This record gives sequence, structure tokens and C-alpha cells, in this order.
Amino acid sequence: MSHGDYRIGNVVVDATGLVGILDWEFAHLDDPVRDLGFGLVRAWRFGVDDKRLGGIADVDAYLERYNGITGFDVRPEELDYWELAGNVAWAVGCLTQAQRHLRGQDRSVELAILGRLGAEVEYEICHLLEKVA
Amino acid sequence: MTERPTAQELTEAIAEFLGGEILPTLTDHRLRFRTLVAMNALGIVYRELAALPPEDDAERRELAQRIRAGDVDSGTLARVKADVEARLRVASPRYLDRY
Repeated sequence: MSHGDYRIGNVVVDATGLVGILDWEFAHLDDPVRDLGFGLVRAWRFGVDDKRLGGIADVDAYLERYNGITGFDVRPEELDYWELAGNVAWAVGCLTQAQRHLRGQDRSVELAILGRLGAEVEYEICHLLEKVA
Repeated sequence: MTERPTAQELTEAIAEFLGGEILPTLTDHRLRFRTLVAMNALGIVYRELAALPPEDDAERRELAQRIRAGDVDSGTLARVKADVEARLRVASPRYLDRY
């Protein structure tokens, strides 16, 4: 089971801890590690690029805790793979949003401009591919 | 096919936004007038862009075709990245400072 849009913007916390996880409309059957890697996508770091986990932390403690609770043995390389896959999904998402505008389903500058801003995500994909090449 | 939305499609989207969402909220006469003038100016840009010859993207198309056919070599990624970078210099130049 995968949430499908598991990123910092969909996690609600308060001073006592986790309040809820929002936006389950993309939930589907998939590798659960997909969710773990999707939150690392640079677009969800909101400018704090050196903190790979949603702009708030690095991934080591996150992965260790996840493995500890679930009993899984997710390797850092799996996160690398799903981070790349998450970027590809979001790059396609940008084009899909722009198409909604261009086809007249939902006319808005906000959707239109994603067709161009998708280049940011493409650049990140090239950067990640260079790291593993 | 050149970048979508094209520059012309973007001016169209902005004109729709100004006319459909901003103008109806404006009660100040001076602001209404200036917004209408801005929309006219945008109309000039739109028509001027319509008169321009289409961008030559043969090189980009050829690269895409080769990648689809599986014809990639050690220089392919660098060529793709250079193309993305050229588009980013137009779409979001400051983003490049983050690398």
C-alpha cells in the first residue's frame, strides 16, 4: 500500500506530535518504500535544499526509525531510486497540470506555468542521474 | 513542438486572469482603467508573438527520437541537461543558482 503523495505538505503535526496525513486520493497498491522516497523530492524541500527530507532533516535517522518500527531493511539506495522515480512522477504531473489548462478543462495561470516550471524537475532528474552515472 | 505553454499561450492565460478574476474585484476607477490598459498592452504582445516565425526545435526533436529508439551514449545525459538548462534560463533562471 502506498499513500501516493506522501510529502511534508501533507503531514500535519502539532506540539504533541502527528495529527494526521492528508490527501489520500492517490493511494494505491505499490512498494511501500515509494512513499518513503517521494518525500525526498527536491520540490518538496521548499528551498531548504540541503535537508533532503522535506527541507527539515537528513534521511539517516528517518530511515533507521522506519526500519526499526516496520522490521523492514530498506537500504539507502532504494531511497535514491524512489527519489528519482518521485521526480519523474512530479515532472509528468507538471505537464499533466499544464494540459488541463491548455485543453480548457481548468483555465489558470497557476496550472499553465507548471508546463514551464517542470524544467526545474527535469534539471533535478539530470542531476540525480549524474550522481549515479 | 516548441515549449508549452508557448509565450503566446502564457499571455493569453494572464489576460484571462486579469479580465476574469482581477477586473471584477476592482472598484477604484483609476485601478480599473490601468488594468484595462495593461490588458491592451498584453494584447499587443499576443498579436506580435503571433506574427513571429515558430522556433526551430529540430535538434531537440532529433535528440528525443534517438532516446526513444534507445540510441544513447555517454554524452546523451549532458546533451539533455544542456537543453533543460537552456529552457530553465527562460522559465526560472534563479533555480540554477541552487546547484
